[in-house]
Amino acid sequence: MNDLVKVEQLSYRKGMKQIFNALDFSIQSGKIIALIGENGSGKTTIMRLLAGLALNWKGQILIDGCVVGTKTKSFVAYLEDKNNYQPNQRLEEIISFYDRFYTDFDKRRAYELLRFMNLSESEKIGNLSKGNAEKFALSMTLARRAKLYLLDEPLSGVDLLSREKIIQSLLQWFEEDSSIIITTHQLREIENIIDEVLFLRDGKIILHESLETMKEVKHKDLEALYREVYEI
Amino acid sequence: MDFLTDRPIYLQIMDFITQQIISGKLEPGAKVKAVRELAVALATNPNTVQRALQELEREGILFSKRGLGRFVTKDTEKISHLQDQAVGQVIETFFAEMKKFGWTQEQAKDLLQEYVERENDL
Repeated sequence: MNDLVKVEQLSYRKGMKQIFNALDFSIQSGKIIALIGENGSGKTTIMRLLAGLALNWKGQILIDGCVVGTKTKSFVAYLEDKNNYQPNQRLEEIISFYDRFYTDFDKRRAYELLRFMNLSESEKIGNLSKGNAEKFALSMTLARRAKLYLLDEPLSGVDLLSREKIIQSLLQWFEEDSSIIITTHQLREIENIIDEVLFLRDGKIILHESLETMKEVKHKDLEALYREVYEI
Repeated sequence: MDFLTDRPIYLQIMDFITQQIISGKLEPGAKVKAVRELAVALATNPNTVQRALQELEREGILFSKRGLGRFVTKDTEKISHLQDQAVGQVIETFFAEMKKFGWTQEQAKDLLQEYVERENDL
């Protein structure tokens, strides 16, 4: 299988703080990966680096063979923690904006997702509940026919049924030869949908394994692995 | 469907489909749902579903037709063998559990017999 993401000897600092030093990892295409770590372990920074939003890093970051930058943004879809919409914008206006902005955006799929999420296109973004706003943001991300989806905390602060809906939408709409990297603290809820888990601590990857292999060999679930890795 | 978290999910999906075949919910020769559809229905990873179906195919429980999808075997002997295996497993578990309480196989059998008769009287 091909490496969709290849990170080699990556170093990155923010101000005086060294966040990563000689980080290596790779991700194959067609996988759903959980990026797990305590708060401040560097999860969001990895997402921003892969999304091409962090500058002045050293080493190598390749996505589908291209160095991360303007070009890779056209096939990397990033779901951020916060969004920058105007509160009085209607969902359909935002969809049209995305459609003009991203060449890989599939408008038909965007409306399919909207219906699946029970959202109305005439609704103003500012009127959505937190859960619905999260569903909408995710819909816009999944409506792109991207090669890599970066989902930063898509399940945080969202009620149980919305979380289930979000997980269903991932399984339904993610492209077979693309990959998803998802950060979350909701271990139980992503347990069954991920291929591999990547544990991060203090800017280092301390475990990168197939979850099915862990279950088969160690009879350990995600939570047990988490405890093993983080409890000292 | 609720999966146990400490056992590989592909094995649990294999068990689930095998159960459906044994119980007749999936009949001999019936088409099995596509990978994506099953993944959404079971809320599980598509690669894991794919692996389960491939393993079932390797065991001859499913077979695939190019471009048409996967189907349940038409080999009824194979299916009744699966049935025997399942029955064997349940009974084995029963006697093993009873043994933990100190009952011999003979005693456990009598207790089971009594239980069935009592239930039928109600």
